[in-house]
Amino acid sequence: MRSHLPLKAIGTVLLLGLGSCSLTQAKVPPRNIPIHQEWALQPGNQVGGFEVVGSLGDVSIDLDGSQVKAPFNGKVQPAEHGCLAFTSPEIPAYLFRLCGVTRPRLGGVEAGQTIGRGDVLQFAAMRRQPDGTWAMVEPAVDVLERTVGK
Amino acid sequence: MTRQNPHYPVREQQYSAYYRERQPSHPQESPHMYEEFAPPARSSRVAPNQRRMPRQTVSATPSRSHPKTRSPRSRNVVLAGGGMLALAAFVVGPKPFLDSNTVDEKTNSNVVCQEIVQSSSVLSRAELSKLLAVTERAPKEEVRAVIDEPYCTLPSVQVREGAVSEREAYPLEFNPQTWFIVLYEEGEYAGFDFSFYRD
Repeated sequence: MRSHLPLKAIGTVLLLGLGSCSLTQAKVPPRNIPIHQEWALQPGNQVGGFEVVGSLGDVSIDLDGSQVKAPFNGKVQPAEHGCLAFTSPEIPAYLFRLCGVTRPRLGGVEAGQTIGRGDVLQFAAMRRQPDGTWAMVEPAVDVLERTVGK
Repeated sequence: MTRQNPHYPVREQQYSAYYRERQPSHPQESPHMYEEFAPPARSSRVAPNQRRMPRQTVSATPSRSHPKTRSPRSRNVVLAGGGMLALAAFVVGPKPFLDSNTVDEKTNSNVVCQEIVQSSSVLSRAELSKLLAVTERAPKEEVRAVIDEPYCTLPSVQVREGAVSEREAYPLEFNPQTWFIVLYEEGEYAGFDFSFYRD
């Protein structure tokens, strides 16, 4: 009988890898973003049987599969309807919501690090209000270039 | 598990000769008669039971318990390969145990001052407590009435179109490795955050 040591070693490595994937994903809690503006349509709503992927306040950028990068050192968290929330201690009072990012990198990221890719990115900049809600504001071009620039 | 294959005798049969020889069969036997069954020296490549047992009996031992199933060289190769795989998975793959400790570290970057304003400035617990009572959108002067001049200013940044964000940083008096960063826009207090590492 041949030894099963190689199979055991490979199996252990695979199990560790799978476990690490699930653990990594599980460690980043989702971010709830209460929107200050009470608009009827938000990403994730249905219109005529179709899903709304961008709403008033989102800047839509045709990425055609290009990278989405972290504009500052910060943290990426999952948000509602498959969107992402990006926050950074370098820019207090601001939060960016990114929708349309595929296979995102969650957790801590450094400025310029790839968050994921996307075909059409819906980017919303939000500023914290005194009541704890987030008001959509027009993002500066510089921030957008940091996020999608090559 | 007991094998049914006649080429592989049951474990009791395999080692019966070994155990029979170890068991004193006569009260006059002395321990020195069993020197050959003492643990071999480290340099010895002969298993203790191979010295006294017929070769065919040894070869009949199932491979699971046979010490020569795989040569030491090939076993080392397998172990080295497994080690390399594990190392590759550790380096390339996600790092759950490290990530659990470093997510927040990465989240909170080092603060890079643009200009030192007051090198002795720190933020005390009392000042921080008072600052928490100040609401966002309050005039900058209201914040400055609570806290002193900052340790330094950070480079200005434009997050919202048409508005330049001024950022000021204070090390915490009770935890100097942590920075308190406050952001102003158009003369208004916008908010604060903590950066937990400092250059």
